[in-house]
Amino acid sequence: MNDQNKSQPDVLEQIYVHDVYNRLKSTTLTQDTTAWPNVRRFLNRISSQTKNALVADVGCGTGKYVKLKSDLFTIGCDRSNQLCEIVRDRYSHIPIIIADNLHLPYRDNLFDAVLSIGVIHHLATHQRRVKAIQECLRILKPNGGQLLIYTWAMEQKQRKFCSQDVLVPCIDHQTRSDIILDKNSWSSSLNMRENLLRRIEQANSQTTKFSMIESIQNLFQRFVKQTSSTPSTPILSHHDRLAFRIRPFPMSSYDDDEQINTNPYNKRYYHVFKHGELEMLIEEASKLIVGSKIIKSYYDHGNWCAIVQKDI
Amino acid sequence: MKLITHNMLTSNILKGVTRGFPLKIKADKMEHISVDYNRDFIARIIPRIEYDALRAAVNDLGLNESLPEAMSETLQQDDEFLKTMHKVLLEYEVEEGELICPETGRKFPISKGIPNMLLQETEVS
Repeated sequence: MNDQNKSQPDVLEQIYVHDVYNRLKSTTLTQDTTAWPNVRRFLNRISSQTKNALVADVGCGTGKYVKLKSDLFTIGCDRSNQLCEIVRDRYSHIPIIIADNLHLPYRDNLFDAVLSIGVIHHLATHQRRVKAIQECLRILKPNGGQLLIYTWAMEQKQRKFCSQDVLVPCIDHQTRSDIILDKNSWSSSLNMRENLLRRIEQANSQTTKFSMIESIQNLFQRFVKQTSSTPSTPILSHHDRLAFRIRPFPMSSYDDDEQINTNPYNKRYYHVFKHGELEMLIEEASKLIVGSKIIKSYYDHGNWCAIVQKDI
Repeated sequence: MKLITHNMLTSNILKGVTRGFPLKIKADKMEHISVDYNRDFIARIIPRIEYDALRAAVNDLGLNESLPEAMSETLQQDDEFLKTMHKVLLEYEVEEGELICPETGRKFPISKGIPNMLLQETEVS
């Protein structure tokens, strides 16, 4: 694999994850303040087992778990410098660094617990998702250190994805009046990861970022209609409350910077997980970081979740 | 960036770097903030601190704090020492400056108290 090919999932993540998080208004980002009850429970258990435990929140976003428990010492990191600055502004002098989940700049065997909440689903290839988990396991303390992973599930009550690789628009709460999913809502989808990468490869002759975006967008020709059983005023799932919305994918072209800035639909790339996929991924990651095993896996409000313990 | 954070960081994510620890610190702007003293926390965290690296950091920053050359079991029960460790680990903040890889000299900027540890694709191991 040459260097150019190797960097393709990078480019996708840069455009559809990192750039989006750095571009979104801070008011939009900080809407999401509700801590997941089961994440809180996990942290409660950690602190009751290990007083003053050391915790790494990998992909901490706006930092809602960093200050959740005062009896834990939590260090946050995120790939987005904007998110890190938001966290630092919200919680003065909080320990936070800008870092990539694929290359965590932490020493080995350090943390009593590691959080990975809604992070791994933003990585565009299987290998990168495995590597992300490996990195989280590497920094975990042996003899009982625990990693909690949350990833968005493909199996959801309110929406149907026709592929595991999707671009999901997120919107500002100010327009929440039309946030409700109804039967006119759509899901846009990538055919297959491989297909996407092949197309990007074809687009490689065009050198600018923006021509590459168009090439990715041309893939979005299949839309899946919401299931007809979806009620017109459904109970919003957690993610819906976080102001995600699935609607027709705007096939606008990105010709210049101005259009990018004014486009209200900042779409984020997700690889949504199928039942059993997270466990498989963890097992693959555990082959290199020996002594790790899944102690619990479960479904929680549209997410596949797992707790992994490092024993050796 | 607190020195407890610095103590956890390594640049061995860079291609060709084996240990990458401890990172050298160059501080352009520092702050001293007051943090509630928690003896339990300090006593528990000490076994996980790379003590020599902490002393190197204190030296890099030119802090007027005396940390004994070697750590000992008796020292870990010593209130005076624990208070100094509390101050050094939690109360000094590097607001602006850089972290420097001890093997390659690669600089990681610290801005608004946040170290940026991102790498270029060509730099990763």
